[in-house]
Amino acid sequence: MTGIIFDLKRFAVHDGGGLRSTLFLKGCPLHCPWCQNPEGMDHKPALWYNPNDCLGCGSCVAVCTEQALSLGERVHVEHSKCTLCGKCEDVCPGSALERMGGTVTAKEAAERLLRDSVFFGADGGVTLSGGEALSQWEFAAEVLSLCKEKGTDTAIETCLLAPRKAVEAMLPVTDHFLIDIKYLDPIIHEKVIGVDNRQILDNYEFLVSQGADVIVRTPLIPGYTATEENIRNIARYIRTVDADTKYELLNFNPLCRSKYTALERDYPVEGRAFSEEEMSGFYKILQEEGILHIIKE
Amino acid sequence: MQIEQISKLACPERIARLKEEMLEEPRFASIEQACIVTDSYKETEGEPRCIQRAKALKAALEKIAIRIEPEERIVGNRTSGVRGGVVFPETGASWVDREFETLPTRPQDKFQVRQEDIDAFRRDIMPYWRGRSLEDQVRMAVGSQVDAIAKVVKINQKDHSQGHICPNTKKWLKLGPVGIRREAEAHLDQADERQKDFYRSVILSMEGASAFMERYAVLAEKMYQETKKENLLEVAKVCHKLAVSPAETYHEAVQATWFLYVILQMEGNASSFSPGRMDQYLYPYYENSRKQGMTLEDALELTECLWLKFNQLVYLRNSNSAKYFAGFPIGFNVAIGGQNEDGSDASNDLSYLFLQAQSHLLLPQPNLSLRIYKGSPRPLLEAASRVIGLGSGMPQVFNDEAVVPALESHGISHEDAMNYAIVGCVELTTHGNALAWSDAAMFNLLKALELTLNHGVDMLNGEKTGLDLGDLTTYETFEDLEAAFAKQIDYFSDKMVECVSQVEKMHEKLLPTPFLSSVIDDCLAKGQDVTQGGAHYNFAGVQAIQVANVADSLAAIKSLVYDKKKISREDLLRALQTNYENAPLIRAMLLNKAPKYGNDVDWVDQLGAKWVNYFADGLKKYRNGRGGIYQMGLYTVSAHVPMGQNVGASADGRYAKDPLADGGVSAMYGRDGQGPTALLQSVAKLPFMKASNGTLLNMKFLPQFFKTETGIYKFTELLRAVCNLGISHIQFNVLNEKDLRAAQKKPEEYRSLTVRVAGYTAYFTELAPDLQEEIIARTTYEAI
Repeated sequence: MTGIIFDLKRFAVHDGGGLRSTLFLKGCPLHCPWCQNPEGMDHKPALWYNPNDCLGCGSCVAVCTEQALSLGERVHVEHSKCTLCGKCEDVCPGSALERMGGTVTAKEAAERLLRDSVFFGADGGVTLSGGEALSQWEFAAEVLSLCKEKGTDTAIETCLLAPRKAVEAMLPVTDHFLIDIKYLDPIIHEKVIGVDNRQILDNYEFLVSQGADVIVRTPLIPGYTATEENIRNIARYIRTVDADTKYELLNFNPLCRSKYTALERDYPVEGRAFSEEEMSGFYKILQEEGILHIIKE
Repeated sequence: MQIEQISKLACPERIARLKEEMLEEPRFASIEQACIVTDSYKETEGEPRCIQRAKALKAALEKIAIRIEPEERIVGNRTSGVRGGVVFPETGASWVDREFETLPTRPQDKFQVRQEDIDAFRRDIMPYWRGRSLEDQVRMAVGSQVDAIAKVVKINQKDHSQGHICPNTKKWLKLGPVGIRREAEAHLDQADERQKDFYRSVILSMEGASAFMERYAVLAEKMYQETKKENLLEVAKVCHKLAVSPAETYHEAVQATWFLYVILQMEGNASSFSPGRMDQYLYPYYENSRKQGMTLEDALELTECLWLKFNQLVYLRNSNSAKYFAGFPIGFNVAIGGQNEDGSDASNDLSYLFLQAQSHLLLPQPNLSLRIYKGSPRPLLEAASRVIGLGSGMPQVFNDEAVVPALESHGISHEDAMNYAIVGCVELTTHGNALAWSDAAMFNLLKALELTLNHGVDMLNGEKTGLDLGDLTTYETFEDLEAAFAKQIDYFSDKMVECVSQVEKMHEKLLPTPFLSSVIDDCLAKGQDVTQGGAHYNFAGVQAIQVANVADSLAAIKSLVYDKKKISREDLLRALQTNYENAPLIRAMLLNKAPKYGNDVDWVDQLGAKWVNYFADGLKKYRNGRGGIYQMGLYTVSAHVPMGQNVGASADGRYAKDPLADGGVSAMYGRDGQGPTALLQSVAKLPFMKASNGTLLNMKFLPQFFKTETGIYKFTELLRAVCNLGISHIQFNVLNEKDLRAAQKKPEEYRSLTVRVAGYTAYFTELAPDLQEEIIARTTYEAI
């Protein structure tokens, strides 16, 4: 069983307990305009160009047999022509060109994740993220199953837009589900993200009914999700589904803008991370809605 | 234990005032002791050197000007001003003569000077010591040999005493100067003539020590009569008692400890004497006083008085030495926590009180070290992590799981290994029974590689200083290159050991240290000074520098030149010789297309380990001047900057004269892109069992990591993993660039901002601009 991944982060300290290693799987069915990992959206690998590491030497243009590269002020990649042969990556004396996304077997992925097992301690472990981890659910389940065999704590970050059998496959091998609910209103959800959220909420309720350890998370995006009404609605809903629910608000992180520059795309979100005071305001809403376990960093 | 109560104790107001006064006082170079000592030597001409030394010390203890601050509770200094730079002509006068005027303006470790002192030094002191000081004698005996290898091997201890010693403070507390004097007297009867001189020198030193304490008692009593301040009366009583009998209370034990270190410095003027496991040997006194009603507040105030004192002695180095060891480190290294001999946990109330004192003061001294092991109690790790998060670089962390077996494998008993302490910055030692000569020399492996690639010719100045074994173009295989590198290392190792032995002999001849010898086990029993080999353990330590640059350079050559043939041997050699002048693409490839140490890439890390192993194994065949073995260390303190200035462009993409990797086992800055766990995994592949002289890994974190309880918890998890990985030592710098930029602009507002330089903490604003820049440039781990 193989999967397509685009990153593996060690010493991940924000998603799940303890110290973790996080594997990023490629491909996502959602199209959130604020996506923090745009390089993971597409299901296929892609050539990634980072202008900051480019020396402008033109070696890559010369070596490309498909005429997919051209050099102006920066290198421009014609993705439709690129066959991902890797010649340009190899010849680049800097590290400006990189094929983003590679195929690995579940066994390789598990080995790389477990390389840091000495750091996992009592509550650390491995996390699958993305993209959307469940878009390659069979691969994801096998990776976590291999990790579980070694007694490692496992977690998955998911939007839950996936068939029920995918969720069922993950249940026995996943210790913690970190699930994203961005909007409660299905119409807004569809309007902003491109798909409605009924399957997401169904899967969420299923997980709760199965007694899974679930942490609901909402990214606070200025101009999008970060409104009192939206947060209150989500809080109220999840409180009804699960009286003991855990809820985490993820503060906006503007650092991903540089990734959009590299992709020659504009980042649609204006604004900055919320201040401590602003965050307290959101936490107050959760308290008012009776959320018992507010997860904070 | 009263962990909770201790963590709530506030900084005493007295301490805040004393700290402010101390930091406001300007630093001056001082020649007072030099004058007294020179006069004494003139009077004792012809007597055995140990007697001359003891009489000179005694004269200084009896005559040097003393001062007590009206609010002090712990007293004693070796100059009447605080942080005075003591001119010490017995070890070095010529360099002072050359550099005296430049002390206020030199780039690193500035001191103010008084013109009348300069005049008096040249008139009364310099003429006597010309040709007689350690510095001049070493230069005459071995100067040209030292110079010939200087770019590869820096020989140390040429113009100052060795230091890096952890004395037996427990014995000093138990016996006091009177008890030790009696011990020496008891030995006199059966002693031979040479031993008799030694015992007499100990007796003279102890008489001086008692007199010194009594002078403080008299001064405090007089000041009490004038001011009626109760603390002064208390000081008078304590000092008077200690002059004649051993300590019993916590206050007395803390004061006695401080007197010991002041007198050791007056005798030795060494780069460090370290108190070691103070939470262990002070504990019985603490417990005794607690039973008699001493409050926790009082215990903390006394502790913090001592903490301030640790900052009042600094060390005057020559300008070159100050580059290598910047920020006047004097290394009062205090170790807390760890285990007892039987493996049970050793932490106690004092461990926590010391951490609390550190969190209040955040000063460069003491150099606070935490010993951890697999069973370290979580509250101790959490308390320590909170203090680390405050950003003073302390406590630095030592790992029993790595250190104890390393010491045992170098001939140290299990009992002594379990009781190890740290001296100076990061050097490992047993407690109270070793002269480990930890800083005998620093060996620049990267420079040896440069010479190997270039016919033994220095790429910076064109001089032939190494063996001509060929150059990069003549080594047909990578193995050929490695074989030549090994020969080059052997060549310089031999030369190094010759020089070190000569320097040691000179110390034995010129600088016996009877006072120190009285608190190092076996010296009194053997009737032998430490410099003669009187200590129970006699080591010499050499630092191998710098594993990251060697691993990265060899990995790049192996991969890009020999294996993949992306760069020709001729092109690379030319690029190195010309400092990459017309070869930016070659340099970019070296940087980007070859994996680097610090990213958990096995074959690269193993290259580093291989050469460190080779160097350590090579040391096994040598013996030092006192009959002991050589040990390898892996640390540079701040020497990675000046040592980098000696090295031409290297195949890791480093430009000529740029700094080497910092610390000792750290990755080259900015090249450990896989985060801290990958770095730690790389580091863990090095042979820590062989690095029993000490190692240094620097890691930088941003303060945000420590802001939450979750962050503190995750940091303790990281510490636990370090235990399991068997890495012997880590220092954590918690800082952000904004603070540091602001401090450069307005040093006066950031006087007490401390940063980890490498093996110790210094005031950031007192570092030279290039070191400041270097600290700012180092990678910082943001939370991912």
